[in-house]
Order: sequence, then C-alpha cells, then structure tokens
Amino acid sequence: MSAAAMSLRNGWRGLAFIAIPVTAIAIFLFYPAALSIIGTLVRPKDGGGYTFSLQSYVFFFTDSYSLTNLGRTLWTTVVTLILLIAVNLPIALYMRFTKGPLASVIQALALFPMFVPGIIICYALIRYMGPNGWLQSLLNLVGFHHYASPHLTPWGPVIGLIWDGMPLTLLILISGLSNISDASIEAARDVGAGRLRILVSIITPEITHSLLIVSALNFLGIFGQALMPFMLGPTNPEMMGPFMLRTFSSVRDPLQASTQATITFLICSLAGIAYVRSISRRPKEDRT
Amino acid sequence: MSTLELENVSKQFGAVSALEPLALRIADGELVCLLGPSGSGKSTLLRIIGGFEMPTGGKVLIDGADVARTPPEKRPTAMVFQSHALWGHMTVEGNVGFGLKLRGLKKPGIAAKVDAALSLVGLTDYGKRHPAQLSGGQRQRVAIARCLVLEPKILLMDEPFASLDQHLRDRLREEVRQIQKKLGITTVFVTHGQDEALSIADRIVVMSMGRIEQVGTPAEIYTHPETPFVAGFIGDMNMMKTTIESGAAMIGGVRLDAPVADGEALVAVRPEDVTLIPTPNGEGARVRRIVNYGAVLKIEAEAADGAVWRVQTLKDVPVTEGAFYRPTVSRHIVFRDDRVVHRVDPV
Repeated sequence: MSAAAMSLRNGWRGLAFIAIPVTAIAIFLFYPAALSIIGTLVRPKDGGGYTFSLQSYVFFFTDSYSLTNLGRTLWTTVVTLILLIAVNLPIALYMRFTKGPLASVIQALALFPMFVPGIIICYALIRYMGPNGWLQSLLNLVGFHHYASPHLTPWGPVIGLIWDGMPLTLLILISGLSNISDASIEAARDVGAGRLRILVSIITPEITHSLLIVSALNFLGIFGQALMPFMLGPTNPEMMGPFMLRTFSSVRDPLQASTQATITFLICSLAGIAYVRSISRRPKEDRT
Repeated sequence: MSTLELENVSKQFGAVSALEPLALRIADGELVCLLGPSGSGKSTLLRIIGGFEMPTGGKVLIDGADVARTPPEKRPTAMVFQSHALWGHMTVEGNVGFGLKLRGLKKPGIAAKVDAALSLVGLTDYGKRHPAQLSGGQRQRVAIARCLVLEPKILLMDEPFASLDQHLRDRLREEVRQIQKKLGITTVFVTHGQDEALSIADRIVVMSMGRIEQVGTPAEIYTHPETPFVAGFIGDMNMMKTTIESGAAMIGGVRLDAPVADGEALVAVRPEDVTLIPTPNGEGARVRRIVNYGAVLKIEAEAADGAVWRVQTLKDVPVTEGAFYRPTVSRHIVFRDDRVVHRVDPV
C-alpha cells in the first residue's frame, strides 16, 4: 500500500474514531442550542409565517429587574473569581515551595471539596453559616452575639462558589507553578530579588497562562451556576441561573428564558474565547 | 577582585553528612574547579558559597567578611546554573538587566551595562529575543552575562555546560576561561568532568564523600595524586593490588621499586607511562585488544600472571594484536592505607 493511501486510510480511521462523540454533541448540544437561539430571533407572525424580531432582547435590556439580575451575576462572578485566586494562590505557592507532611495535609483538605456533591455543600454551608447554625452557636459561646449570617445575602453564593471552585483552581495553579524551576527562583534571589519581587516579577508572569485558564474556566462555571445561588443566595436580585429557571418553570415564559440563556451564553463565550486563545498561545520553542 | 576562604564548613542533612568540616582558600582572580563524582558534595559546597544552603557549621569568608548566614540576594556572588534558569517571559536584555533594575540603576545606565555584558559573551544582536528563541549555548551565554553584569566578587558556576554537546562545551569553556582571565574574577566552577577541570582550572579541588581528597594544580593532581581515589578518578590509571617483598613489587611481569616495609600495597601506573617492547618466543604480555582513538592507541596487554596492562601510545607506534611485548614502566606510585608511601618519577 502506498504512503498516500495509508495516510488517507489513517485519516478516515481518525474521523471514524471521533464520529460518535462529535455526532452526539451536534445532536444533543448544538442543535437544541441553535434552535433555542434562533427561536429568540425568529418569531411566528399573527397571520402565519415567521418574522425576525429582537423584541425579547429589547425587553431584557430595558427591564430593570433583568438588568439588575445580570449585574448581580457579574458582581458575584467577578468577586468570587478574585477571592478564589486570592485564597488559592497562597495555598498553591505554599504547596509548590514547601515539602513535608503539612503540605500534604493542606493539599488533601483543599482538594476535598472536589469529592463532595454541590447539593451537599449547600446544605452543609446552610447548617454551618445559616441563622442559628453552628458558626453562630460557636460565636455565641465565645461571647459574640452580633453575627449576621451571609446565607440568603449576595455573599452566600460567593462563599459556596469559592468552596466549590477551590479544587480546580488549586490544581491548575499548582500545575502552572510546577513549571517554574527552583533554579529560576534561585537565579532571581541570586541577582538580588526579595520574596515579594520574585512573586511579582518572576512567578506571576510565569503563571499568567494558568491564571487565564483559571479565570476563564471559573467564569464559565460561576456565571451559569444555578444551584449555589438558588440555595444560598437572595431571590431579589438573583443570579442568571435561578432567574432563567424561574422564568421558564414558574413564570412559564420560555421565550424570555431562552433570551436570558442566549445572553448568558454570549457573555460566557467571551470567557470561552479567552480560554481557547490562552490554550492556543502556548509558548513555542523557536530555536535558531 | 576578591578572596574566598572556607573555614571548617560542614553540612548535615538530617542524619546524613553531606560535607565533612573542610577548609579551602581561593586566591584573588583564581579559577578553582570542584571536581568529584555525584554525591561528593561539590554542588552542596557551591550552594553554601552562594547562600542557597546554610552550612551546619563553619565560616564562609569573602574578603574577610563572614557571609555564612547572609541570604543569596545580599551576597557579592553570582551563580550560573546548570539549567540556564533564564526567565522565559523576559527578553535577553530583560534577563541581563533585571539585577541592575533591582539595584535602582536608571534606564540608560542599565542599557549601557547590558550592552557591554552581551558584547562580552558575543550576543550583541540578541537583546530583543526571548530565551525560547535561543540555542542552548546562547542561553548559557545569557546566563553568564546576567551574572557578569552585576560585577560580583565571586562567580559561581554549577556544571554550566553539562547540558551542551561536546563541541559547544569545549568552545564555551575556552570562552569562559578567556572572559574570566580578562576580568580577573575569582571563580568557583563545579564539574564532574575531569577533562573540563584539567583544561580550565588554575587549581582543582577533588572531592569524594563530602571530603576534600586533594587540592592542587591540574598537573599536580594528574601526576602526583595523593590518594587512590584521586589516582583512579582523574584520567586512566592501572590500579593493581600487589605484595611488596624486599623493596620491590612484581606486577604483570614488571619489577617496580617500592622501598617500603613488606606487605600489601596498591600500585598506580598511568597508561602513557607504560611502554611495550617487542619480545621473541612468546615472552611478556600478549596484546589482546587495540582501540584507535585517532591521535593515540589504547591497548590492553595480558601478562602471564593474568594481570592486564592498559597502555596508551602514539598512533605511529607499531603494535600488533596477539603479539607479545615486555611492558616497562617509567612512573609509578605506591599507596598503602590510602596514602602515598613511594613514588617514582621519570628522570
């Protein structure tokens, strides 16, 4: 068999290999998503036939309640992202540059949420930080009686989402940090850099790629969240996840729910584009 | 320019002793190689000098000031790492100028010094490139420039050419030697390559098991090893156990002077100090293998008592495989209890 024929055969084999998952994605994801998006733009006319209409989008962007919900979703996403990185970066740095049993214990604790279902996390947090929960009882014991529970406030979902997002964030940051050699840190110390300067000038630029991935993946996960905001957050304003759910099942307005979903999808796709660009811009070895 | 003195420097890692207490003085402008096998403690010693490891005991004196407890960023030393350790997000100029920036120099001053350092290592036109766009040799030059630009009192080099191919290693070694001589900078160079140490060093410190075995010039180390370890580690050596009787040792059909007390001993003979003289009637040692290294031949000749002589001759010397020769030895060393007890040098 000629090389060209073999190459062609291998190409067909490759396509056959991915055919089933690609078909499944097309049928169960892209097709209904496309139908839904098109359904928000192409509406049936009274006298029969269809017409192009942006009416549902005009409603969304002129309805103060919808806009407040979008604003709350953005606020929760950005605040959670910042806190996730702020909490996990020191842990990742500690685990990267410290060896020993304590680092292993911290790693196990930090990765523990990965093995706990979200609904369990929600109920555990309600029992812990909710009104008359364990935290309040503990604080009462030590004489602090002014505890204000974050449950059902905007901080409720933030706390739950940080808990939920910790393992993935930590794993990606540790992976990024493991690419920084001990020698490059020592070289920085050797030329006179202190700890803060090394963090700012050497470590942070070297893990920009990981920070981008962490930000993009968490943005996607947080922005579209329904469970945590539903269980732990306020109902007015509310995040886009529960807002969509309520519009669809309680208000029974599938058009407006689809419009909210399309807007959520478009905003999330910005993070998706940033993620894909970050992946495709890995440093290339261009040795001359 | 500066001197470096180590006084009773030792290092323990838990129960393991990485360095026995040792002392060493390196003169101003000297290039000293720390040479030894893996685990000998040479890199630990270099890292102690650079401040990356704290010694368990002892003093590290640079120009008389003890810096044993001073962190690396405050020491007047600069280290070239085996893995280059360049910062991939910075350009070559950024890498070289980073230390100057930390010292608060203004941009024009940094640019001038960076240009001078890059010119010194032959990378004048590479300032705007990133490390990923450079070859292995070029990266190591940048690492050297990054150190030199800070004008350190002591330059430390941790197997800097280990990751490069032989040809490039030879070339860079020569270049580093020229730069070091030109600047007169006191340098400590760690290597496990004896050729590298012999060709570049003013003095060699041979280390084994966390101890200094011998300190000397390359010629002294090569011709007058003071311990069996040094004799066996540096260059090729015939190391033969023997019994001394009446002031002489008989090895592989050769009688070697050894005017010491009778008893067990170890005799060391360099292959180039053995000459093979053709003999008739199957007397002497039979040549069983000849390997041509271009300029020299390396020969193995087996004597009647089973002893095998490794011999090195110039390529023009006629030697035939299977033929018999009488070995004669022009230089040998006799060791007993890990010390030299007798040495014979050519007249």
